[in-house]
Amino acid sequence: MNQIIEYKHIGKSYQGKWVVRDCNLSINEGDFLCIVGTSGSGKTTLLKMINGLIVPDEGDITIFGTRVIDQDIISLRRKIGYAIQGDGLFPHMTVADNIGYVPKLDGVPRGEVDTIVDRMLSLVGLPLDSKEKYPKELSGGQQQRVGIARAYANSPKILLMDEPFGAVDSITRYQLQEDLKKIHKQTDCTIVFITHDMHEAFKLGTHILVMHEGKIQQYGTTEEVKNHPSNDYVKQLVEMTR
Amino acid sequence: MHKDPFEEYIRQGESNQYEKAQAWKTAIGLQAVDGLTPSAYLVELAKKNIEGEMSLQALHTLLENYYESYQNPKDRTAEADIVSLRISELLLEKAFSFTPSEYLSIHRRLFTDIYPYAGTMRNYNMTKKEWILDGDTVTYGSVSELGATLLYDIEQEKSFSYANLDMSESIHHLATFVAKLWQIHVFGEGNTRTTAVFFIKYLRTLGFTVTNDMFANHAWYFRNALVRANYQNLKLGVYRTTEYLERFLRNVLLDEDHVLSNRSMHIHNGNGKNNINNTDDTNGNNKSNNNLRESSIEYTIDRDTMLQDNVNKDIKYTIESNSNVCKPMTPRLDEFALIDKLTQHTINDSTYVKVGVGDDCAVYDTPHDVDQLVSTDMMVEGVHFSESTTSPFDVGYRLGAANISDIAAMGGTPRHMVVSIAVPKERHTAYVEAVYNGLRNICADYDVNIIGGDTVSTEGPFVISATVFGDVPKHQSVLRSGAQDSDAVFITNYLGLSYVGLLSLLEGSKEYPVSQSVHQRPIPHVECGIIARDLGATSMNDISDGLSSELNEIAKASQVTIYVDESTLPIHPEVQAYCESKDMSPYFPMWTGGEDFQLVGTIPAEKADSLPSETFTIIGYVKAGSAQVLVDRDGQWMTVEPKGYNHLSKA
Repeated sequence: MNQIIEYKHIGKSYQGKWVVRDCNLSINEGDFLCIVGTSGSGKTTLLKMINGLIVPDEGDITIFGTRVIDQDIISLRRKIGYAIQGDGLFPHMTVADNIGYVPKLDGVPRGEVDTIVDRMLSLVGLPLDSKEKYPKELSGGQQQRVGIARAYANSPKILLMDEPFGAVDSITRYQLQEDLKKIHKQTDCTIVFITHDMHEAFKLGTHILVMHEGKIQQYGTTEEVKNHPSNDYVKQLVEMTR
Repeated sequence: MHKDPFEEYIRQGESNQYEKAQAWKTAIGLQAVDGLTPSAYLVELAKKNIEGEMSLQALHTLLENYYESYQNPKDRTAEADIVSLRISELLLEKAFSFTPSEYLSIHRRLFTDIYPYAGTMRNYNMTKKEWILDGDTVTYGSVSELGATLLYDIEQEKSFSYANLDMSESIHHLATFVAKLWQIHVFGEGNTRTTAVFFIKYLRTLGFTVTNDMFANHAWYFRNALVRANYQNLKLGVYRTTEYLERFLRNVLLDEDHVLSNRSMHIHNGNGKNNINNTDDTNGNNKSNNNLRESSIEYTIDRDTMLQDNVNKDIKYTIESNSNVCKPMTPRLDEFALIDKLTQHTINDSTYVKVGVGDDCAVYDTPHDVDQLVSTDMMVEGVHFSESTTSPFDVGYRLGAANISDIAAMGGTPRHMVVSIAVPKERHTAYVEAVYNGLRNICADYDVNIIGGDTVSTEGPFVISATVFGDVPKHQSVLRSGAQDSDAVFITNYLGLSYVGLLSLLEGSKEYPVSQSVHQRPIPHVECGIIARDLGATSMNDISDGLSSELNEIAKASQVTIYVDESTLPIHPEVQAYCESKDMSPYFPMWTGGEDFQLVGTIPAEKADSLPSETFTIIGYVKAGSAQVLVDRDGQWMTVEPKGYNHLSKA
């Protein structure tokens, strides 16, 4: 397996307080990594370092074999899908324009953008007639699906998802998780997914990273974390899923 | 008279011998422009090459050995031999690109190891005493403008259409082009030979074979004709004329047989007589000074005007009301025909247009629940742009972009535009059409309708003004004055590209295509403006004068302190590369470079994450406090003055 993301001795502080310290981590191509932790554990900080939204104070982060700080950051961001909690959709744009936003930025011709939009709608299970609708005309779950479609529209090698299903009801969440598993299975995309829910992590992830107070508690395959929690904190989280 | 050593090959040789013989003959003949004569040894070697006995590469080696001191040879025969060989080589190569860098590259290839500055532009102003001017000099290009002028001349020629011209008109245009190109005198030495090679290769791309003896036998005439095409002395009644060049080109291209006499071009400038000798014009046209004046370069360009930074916009609201300034169009620029042409295809979104161009007023409806936005911009030749660095298409395009960007900066949607143009009387209609095409193009890109305008002629410079109308949902205009404590500060995309584009264009570099495109055809960010507005942006500005200036405007209008983390500014690879090559901080063009037309603004911190990171970058935050902009530099907060990066002081 090829390594696609690597953290080397990463540290980040805010107002003199370390939120992440000495993190070392290597993510392989095709992994579905779930980062689990309570709020303030440093999980979002780690995620946002991948697309350069947060710059580490210490250490290096390498994506596609090159340090992020040495990359053209806007271009890198256009190669990495990013979905956040809520929908992150543009209210004045139709569903089609929302999904086609990044391909259009990359200069994909209009006709091809239309094809991409249709493909994405089918991938996330939305009917084609939702194309011309505006986000406010959709349900919360549908909006979230458009958010995923938008993040994945450019067929990125890496998809970052920051608690994307945090604001939807449990039935919709179940469906969205199924959709996401399908996308991962159908593509070679590497997914880094943040959740505070260990159930969700076990359901989706091939790998789990448990964060607590800015430190890595355990990093391993889902099976390893499930069957061999490395410390009491992880064990406690695993217990809660049983 | 010496026997022509190549005549036999030209008359009876095989086709490749013919081609080689012509190349050699031209190459050797061209040395005459500098009074040089190649050695008999070279002629012998050339014959061997023509006969296929010796490759050009082998000739190189032999010549190098022959002239042991290859570096800066004192004996100019060596120069003549080596340059002749290199010219032959170039003329026999098919590859050619019609670009400034090709021009520089030809000089480099011809004069490497002969002149230390081979391939580089001169860095001093120059004069040259000319025999045919009785010791006077042509006014050569000013050193500060060499690159820009070269680029301009070549770009103009590239976009010129020879369609619908008869051969005489085409030859006149070609003569004008080559005269202007040579007048720049890009290099310290070797200008005529470089120009001749470049021109011959260019003529071939136009379908001319250029295989007769003209350049070989009349190189000195060619040079003098270039001098006369660029020399005028009103006191003596001497005007620039391409007449002599045209005569030469008619012989070259049409195989006509005009006598090419250097004496006919000679001006005697000290005796107060009629100073132009026309007596041996074999066409029998004993032309008067007036005739000469008519045949002088028709489309004279004021290339002494460097591009002025667009920063000076103070004059944009100054409206010249003196009725003497504007006059009815001359027949040359037929107002009605022109307007008719210009007003086609101007409606891109007819939803709200009831009446477009053609009545006393345009009539348009507005969407419901919107506030109307209106903004105007004016561009004056010599102040905001120069013919030498901005093509007419780009003049129109940039004006449209600046206008549309003003609407984007309010979070609005541009809808319509009206345009007024004052055209110098002598300006060709093609120029005006190209300007209008540029404007029409950007309007089409943004679904903006051109619904009216005015076109007049003027004694003054070219002036174009556009007024754009747009709208924004009621009460949602994003002003400069709304930034609040704890807001995040955002920018869109990259900064500094236009700055790098302009400088690299002036230098004739081809390495910065994105930057050059941004400079020539900037992109207004209407969609980003709407996204920011919808997500709750509290203030916004478009970057026309530089980040430092725009942020200071927001800080002042909102009465807040803006803190910027410089390390978060996304650096475009071209800006990085250019600045590295100049040993300059990449942040310099980002703070001070104008004309990027990116957006900068503020948004409540909790909404910042919703801005799409593919286009928006958070670069700092807002705090209540005095109106100023601060940047973290090595752990210290420094004040950023509106004038930019060079004006930092401790906070």
